Amino acid sequence: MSNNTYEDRLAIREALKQFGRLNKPVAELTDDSDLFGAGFTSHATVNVMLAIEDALDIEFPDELLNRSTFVSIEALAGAIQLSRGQQ
Amino acid sequence: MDRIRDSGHSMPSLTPRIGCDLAEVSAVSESLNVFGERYLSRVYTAAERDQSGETAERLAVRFAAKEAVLKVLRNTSGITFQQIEIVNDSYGAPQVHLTKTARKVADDQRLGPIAISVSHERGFALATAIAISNDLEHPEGD
Repeated sequence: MSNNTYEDRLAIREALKQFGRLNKPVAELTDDSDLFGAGFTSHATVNVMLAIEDALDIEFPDELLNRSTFVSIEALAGAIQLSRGQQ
Repeated sequence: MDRIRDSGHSMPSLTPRIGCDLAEVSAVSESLNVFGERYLSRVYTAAERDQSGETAERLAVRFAAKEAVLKVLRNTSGITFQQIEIVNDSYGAPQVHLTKTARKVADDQRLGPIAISVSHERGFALATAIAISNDLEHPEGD
């Protein structure tokens, strides 16, 4: 299981690249970019969440399953850390 | 809708809430192909899976309906997709069943029954949800 924030962000970016269905390249996004502003949809958040769980061997707890968790790469990285704390 | 006032006491304010959502059938197909059972078990209830036959088009309709209901609930923290169940009644009309945190959020906001309407065509699923909030609010200036 990874606990490296750099690896976490790489996993997030890879999940976004594969399943985010964004309207701009992930490489153009900063960690603080608004993902919903870049075309992220509510359904795409599910696929991205599942892909991150697979890549990092974690599971997002129910209380983190809301829009604010998916608003940015930074927010997702924070949610990953919280998820690890509950495992 | 005008708020009813009575000598400065708090009175019920009947406020309509509406939410809508659009879901791509191809996105649901992708989820089924890539994540399969994990996707189904995280998002849909047993009844939804049974009624939809787990076809992408029917699941997309239910996903759009869940999102429309979330917009009506507004406070979505801790609400999972499974807590918003979309099932058809004996006439085939979609109904909303809320459980756990979703039920509590609706009750806390004094939301009445949530009505939904759904449709799908040409690769897209559409849903609209509406409810009346009977929330107690203080008159302005309180």
